Amino acid sequence: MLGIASTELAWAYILCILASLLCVVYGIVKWNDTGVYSDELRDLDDDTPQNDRA
Amino acid sequence: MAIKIILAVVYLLVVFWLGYKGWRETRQASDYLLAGRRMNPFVMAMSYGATFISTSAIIGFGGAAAMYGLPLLWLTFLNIMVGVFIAMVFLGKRTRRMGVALDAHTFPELLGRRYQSIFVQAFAGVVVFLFIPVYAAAVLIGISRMLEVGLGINYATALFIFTGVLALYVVSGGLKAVMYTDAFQGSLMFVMMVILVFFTYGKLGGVVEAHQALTDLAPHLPESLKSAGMLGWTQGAEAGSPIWLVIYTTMVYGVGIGVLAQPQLAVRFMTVSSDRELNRGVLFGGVFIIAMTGAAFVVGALSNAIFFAQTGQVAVQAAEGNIDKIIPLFVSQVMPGWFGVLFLLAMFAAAMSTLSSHYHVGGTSLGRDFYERGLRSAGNPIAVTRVGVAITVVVTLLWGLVLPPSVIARATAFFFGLCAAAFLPAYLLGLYWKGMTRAAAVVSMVGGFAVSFFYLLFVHAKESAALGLCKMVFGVESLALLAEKGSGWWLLQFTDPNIIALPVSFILAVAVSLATAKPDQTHIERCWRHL
Repeated sequence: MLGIASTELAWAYILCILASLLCVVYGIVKWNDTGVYSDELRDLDDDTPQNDRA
Repeated sequence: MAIKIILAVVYLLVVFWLGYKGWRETRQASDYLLAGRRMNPFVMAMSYGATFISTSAIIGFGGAAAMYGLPLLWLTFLNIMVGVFIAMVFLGKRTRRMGVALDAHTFPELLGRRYQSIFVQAFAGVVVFLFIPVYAAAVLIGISRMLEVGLGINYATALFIFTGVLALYVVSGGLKAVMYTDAFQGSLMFVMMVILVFFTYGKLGGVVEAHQALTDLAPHLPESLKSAGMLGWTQGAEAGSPIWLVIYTTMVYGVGIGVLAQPQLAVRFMTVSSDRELNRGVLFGGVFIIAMTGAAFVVGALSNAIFFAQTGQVAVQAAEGNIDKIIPLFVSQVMPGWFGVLFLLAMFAAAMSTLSSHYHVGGTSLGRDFYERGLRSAGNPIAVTRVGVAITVVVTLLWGLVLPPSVIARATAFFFGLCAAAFLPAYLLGLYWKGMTRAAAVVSMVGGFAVSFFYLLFVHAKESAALGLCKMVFGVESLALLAEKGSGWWLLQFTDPNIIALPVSFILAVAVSLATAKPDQTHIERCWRHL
């Protein structure tokens, strides 16, 4: 397949391309998805925990 | 030579301008440590990718692909699926949200605050500070050797020049300077690697024709590879053979999974302000990585067909046995002259983007995690971290002067493996499992680190033979050599430490969590506030 002798390695080649395409599709579909708590997370440096222990 | 110098100067001017921009925008600790948590998604993703992919991925692992062939593409697959998709979607979002909930500024600080343990933060900081200079030094050695060959500069001088340029903008500009320069350097690398892979396929007459030419080369496989179990560059290796174990356990599994617990990468998830930036980052990262390791491994493997057609020798023979020389040799002998100059710059960019992040994470680990938190010492956070970065730069330089030149790919695998064994269970379970306790995190981190380190010193032959401690204590280069040749125990010398250390670390994390008192619910609620 694709000039590659081992079917397993031909799949490795194809899966690399498919994985990259998955990233592209995911990025496009979720392009403007900020997540549920985006407003609260913008309020950044509050509530620092004070109870750390060794 | 004049063109090389002019291009190098233009490149450095852009880098310094971006470094200056980073310095100018750095006003408080969160700017220096986390780029103000307001980074653009393209910059975040390119910085993540350019830090991930150094010269060692292109030169070292590209050379390894020339020797072992297309099985290395499984590593590219893991780089994209695990290193980008799973890392950003399943770990990145939680890391960012929990990072904000706990006001964590570094990766060790996230672990320390999740488990309410200064020991966890300081231990993680010390491990990163002690070992990242070795990985950084391997990258520094690689690029200084290229500088020596490409511009005719003395090796030691090249080491000092390179270190000086990087130190200037990393120490002053912090993570903003690092990420801005990374994005520029990543873009340059992307363009060069795309040209390289298209040119290589074109030279061999197309995609299928190129692969077929490599398939037909199997009878010319060097005897040493054949006897170790390799069948051909597109045929793979015999399952369970020594060469199969090296390819699949050290290179594919060790590096492919190890990426998940890399402090210099995980910290980038905390530099953006919402999930949206990470979602967009998945797109940029997925395209970037296939153009980096995908292109490097395909070109590395196909270089055999081109070298053979030109010289009658396969790549490893043409490079006189030094696999780190294969890609530079291919570029200088096969690619057009103009490409060689730009490729050299792209390799500078790859090295600088990785090194700058190593210096930064080493410095924050020493300054913020160990000095400020571990030793409970007060001080100006930016100044303390700057001193930490400066010390990391000097330690890396010293390693660069003493380490041998052939360590590039091994040092990468070494650091990735060590990080996975020490940090991955505490990090992953800390993000997903409310029942993961402080004691479990401590035992898993120390245990995983100890097992991994013991394996490197006494079992995994590549390191144990080089370090010599096993020979001194037990009289053999690896304890696996005491077993019967060809047996499962004997094969352990070729098996990556994390085949053992990572499962041990996970088992310790789960077992100790189940055996110890549940964590304080108020604290857990605070950790999970945004999840």
